[in-house]
Amino acid sequence: MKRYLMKAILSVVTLTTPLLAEVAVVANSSVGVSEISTDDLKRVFLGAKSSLSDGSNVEPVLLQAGAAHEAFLKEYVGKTDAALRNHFKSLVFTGKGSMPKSFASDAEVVAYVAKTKGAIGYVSNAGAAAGVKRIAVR
Amino acid sequence: MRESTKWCIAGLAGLMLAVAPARAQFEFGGKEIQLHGFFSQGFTSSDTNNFLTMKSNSGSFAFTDGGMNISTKLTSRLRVGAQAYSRNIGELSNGRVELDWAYGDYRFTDWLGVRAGKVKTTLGLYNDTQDMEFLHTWAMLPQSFYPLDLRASNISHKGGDLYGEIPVKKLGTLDYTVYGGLRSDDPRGGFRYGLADAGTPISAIDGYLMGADLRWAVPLEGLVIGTTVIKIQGGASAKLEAAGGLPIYADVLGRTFAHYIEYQRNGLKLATEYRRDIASYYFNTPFVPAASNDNRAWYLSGSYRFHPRFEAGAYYSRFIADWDLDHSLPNNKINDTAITARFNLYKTNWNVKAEGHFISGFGNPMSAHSFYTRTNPQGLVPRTNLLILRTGVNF
Repeated sequence: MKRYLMKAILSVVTLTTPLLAEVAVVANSSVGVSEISTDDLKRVFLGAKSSLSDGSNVEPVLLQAGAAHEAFLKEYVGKTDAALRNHFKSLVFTGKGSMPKSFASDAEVVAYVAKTKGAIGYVSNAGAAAGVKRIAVR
Repeated sequence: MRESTKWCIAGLAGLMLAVAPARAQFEFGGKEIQLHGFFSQGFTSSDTNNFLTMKSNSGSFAFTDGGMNISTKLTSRLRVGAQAYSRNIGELSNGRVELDWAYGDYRFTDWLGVRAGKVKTTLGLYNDTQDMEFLHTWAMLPQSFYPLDLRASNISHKGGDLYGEIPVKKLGTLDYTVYGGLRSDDPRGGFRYGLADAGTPISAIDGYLMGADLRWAVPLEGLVIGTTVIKIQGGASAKLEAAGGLPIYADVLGRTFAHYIEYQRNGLKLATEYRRDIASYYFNTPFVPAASNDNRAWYLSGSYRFHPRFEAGAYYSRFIADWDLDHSLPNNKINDTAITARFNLYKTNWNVKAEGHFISGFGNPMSAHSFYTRTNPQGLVPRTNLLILRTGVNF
């Protein structure tokens, strides 16, 4: 019985780990922190938080679609793509915020984050994220 | 050119812009400029009373609005922008283009920012987003709380806001907005329209308002609880037709209290709000009000997104024009039960909605909530069934 239970737990871990590992948070080298809390990450991507604990100003950068995008929103933002778009529209049309930059691919996100001071984004393949720093989410 | 033709052209223009989202952001002088817009067109049909100054009894397309804004970040902390807005609701507003909001926004920290200029007024859950039909399931928000007749009077103030978000560790976050400034006047709005019907045409409205809104995002994901308080001090100039056009000036002292709860989770959205507006009018008697009014409103709504392209919902909304009078009288209440289906045709950029309203009572025409004697010369009747079809695009 105990063995089956262990197998079940291992199966769940094995199945879920790759899903979570698909998303890596990356930032421009100007961002001083190397880790961020899930709460702060959520607030950055909702436009409510514009600076981190080291004082650096940050600007969220989104993927436009895809598995990594959906996984990131579900895991860290708690909104669907449509709900997030509507959230930013409510800011844009009241003048209380701007629409964040969004890109179609990891490569475009990485290229923009690498050249833009304060930019923070996410990609599905951290290994390909050259020129940006990886941010750990705790 | 006929008015309806002009609005159709404007709608087509909006639709074209909606399918060209690449135009929404561009570079100019080294700065990123964002350009966004929206447009909606509605159709109303009622079985008895004409609704919202439209000829809804014979079917009306006089339910149009649209806006366009431009904004940019001048520095990492300073953002500026402005929005133009126009609408045509029956005999209200008449398509006049107005400056909806225009301000600079400087954010010192996450917990302190300041906006100055013509600023959207934070009141309840949706006052500042009431025009953005694409954000809501409904073709029309509960009119007890967000009357389209009074839209321009409630939507903004010329002044400033202090705002911020304060995390309270495990207790969630607190969002606050404190504001003050000059009241907005609306020469083509329902307040003046209703008073003119009563033989008291208003020539000017002035004064200021002060308010505060506090909303708490509690640790339970998706739940927000909040309250808004507003104080208004001002005046209104009018001419009494019954007294041969005798000019009068009334000082007005008003207070608004609103309390609200919203819960959103996995496509489900529940909301309820309660609002009380108290006004005292003084005519040359500074300490004793010559007239006063206490109107109250509340609603309960629920909607569910069954599919990315389809959501449905219902709400029950109640308005009492004068709390001191009998709440069952048709000329003192408006009870509205609404059911809605919304179809998203293109992402969140283009939708179509169908909404049925089953309304009991017509309220007091002077309180500017949907029903007027001028557009119902045959007399108002206690029940109205109303169909609204509305489509909207945005980019």
